[in-house]
Amino acid sequence: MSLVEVSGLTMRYGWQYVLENLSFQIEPGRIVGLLGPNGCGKTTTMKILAGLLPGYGGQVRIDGHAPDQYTRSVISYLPEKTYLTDSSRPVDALRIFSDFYADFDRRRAESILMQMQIDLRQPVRLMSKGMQEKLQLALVMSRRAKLYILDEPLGGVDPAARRVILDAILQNYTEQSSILLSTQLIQDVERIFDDVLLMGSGKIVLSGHADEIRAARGQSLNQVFEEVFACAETCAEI
Amino acid sequence: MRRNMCGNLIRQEFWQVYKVYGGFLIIAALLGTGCFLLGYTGNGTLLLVAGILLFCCALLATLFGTVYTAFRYHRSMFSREGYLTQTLPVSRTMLLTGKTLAGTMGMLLCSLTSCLLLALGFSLFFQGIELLSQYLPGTMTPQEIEMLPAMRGLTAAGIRSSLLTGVFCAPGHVLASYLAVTLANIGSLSRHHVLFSFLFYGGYLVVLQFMGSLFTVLAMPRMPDGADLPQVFTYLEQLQKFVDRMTLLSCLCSLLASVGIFLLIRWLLEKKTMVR
Repeated sequence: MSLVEVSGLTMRYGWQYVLENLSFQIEPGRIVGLLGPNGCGKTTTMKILAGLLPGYGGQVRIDGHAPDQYTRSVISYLPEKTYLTDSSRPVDALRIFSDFYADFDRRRAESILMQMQIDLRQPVRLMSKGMQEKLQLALVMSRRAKLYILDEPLGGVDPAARRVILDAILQNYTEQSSILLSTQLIQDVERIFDDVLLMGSGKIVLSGHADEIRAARGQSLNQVFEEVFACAETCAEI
Repeated sequence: MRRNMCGNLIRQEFWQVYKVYGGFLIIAALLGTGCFLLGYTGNGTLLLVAGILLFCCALLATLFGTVYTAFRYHRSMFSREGYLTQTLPVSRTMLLTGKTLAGTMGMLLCSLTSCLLLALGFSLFFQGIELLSQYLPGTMTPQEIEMLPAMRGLTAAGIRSSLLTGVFCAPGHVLASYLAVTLANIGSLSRHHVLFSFLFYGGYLVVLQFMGSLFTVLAMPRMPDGADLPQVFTYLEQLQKFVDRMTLLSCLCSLLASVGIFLLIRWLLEKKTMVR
């Protein structure tokens, strides 16, 4: 059984459809890249899987369950935005995660934070964007979740911090788990993908094993992305 | 290890709000103490002014409780904090229960502070009147001076009624503000959630006022009639008992309505609202 099964997923805001008949599966132990231009529905898809957006059409199953209390316990979600309050500190976040998540490894989180040179007592408001991203990532990746959903974990951070974040993702996820990662910095990240979902205008444009796509097209995923969406723009103009 | 999720939710909320409520209590304590010390000045006018000031502060305390409770609920559920709160591994029922209990505790704190300030305000106010009537003959007629103890008694009954209402209606008020905020975060309304929160809460107050007026009209035949009770003190005593009964009845209605509002908010959280 697939870990994630999405079938005919539809979502609209008002009268505007942001997802149209989306269907895909994620197998256990795979790192899946969710790629696409701005506004194509990546974040919406991730929020539905994380249980933040009700009112969708179609079917969503995570480990056999629709998004509910159980799926929230097996999904570790990293949103695009910082969800920690400005006055909170890493030590406060560690307490929250320890209180609520049975699969949270506090020692591992503290170890990751130490490696990233993050002061446990420093308020979030005094941290740079990169430090806030690292802090949230450390919390998320310190859970023994079945599915990690990472929405633009590299957005707005410098290249050195991106490398640290990527390494933290690879070092701390378990092989039984799956990762769904969205990014626009494809060339920095594509080396880690097992599978790829390319989205455009709320639909899956291209999907498959990353190596097979690279081999079939003789291009990197970044080049495939540019080709697909450059073509889409040209067709739209015509 | 079995986790007490409700306790965790309340504890998490406490860590977010303790500084604000702590500041609120310190300000109220300083104000109350300052006005109380005015009682030793022996100046009737100052006491009257202090009393009125405390009435206003009592009102502000209740207003603060309502607004801050709603603000915290919106912040923790529908702003960026909502990405954490609404992805916690708890059911919507548990989440809402934790939030309601935390909000009710905050509201109770504000209501009790408000009642204390009100009681102190009235005490100073009546002291001021008595002093003025002693040193400024003609301020009050002899009959009015004779009525003062009865007025004190009626005021005490009013404060007791406020206290009962503040305690037993706190969950209802909290849930009403939560409902207003939740409704304001449905779909495209969330773009102007502050405006719609106020509008929905205002609508709730209008409905409450209407229900209260209807209640009073229906209860009027049972109200003590001054014509049947020519002794003023007996009349006021009967009026106090009537007010106490009406207060208990309205508290009961509020608690029952709270259950319905809770279920409605839970349904909206499961089906309609979203974190933007």
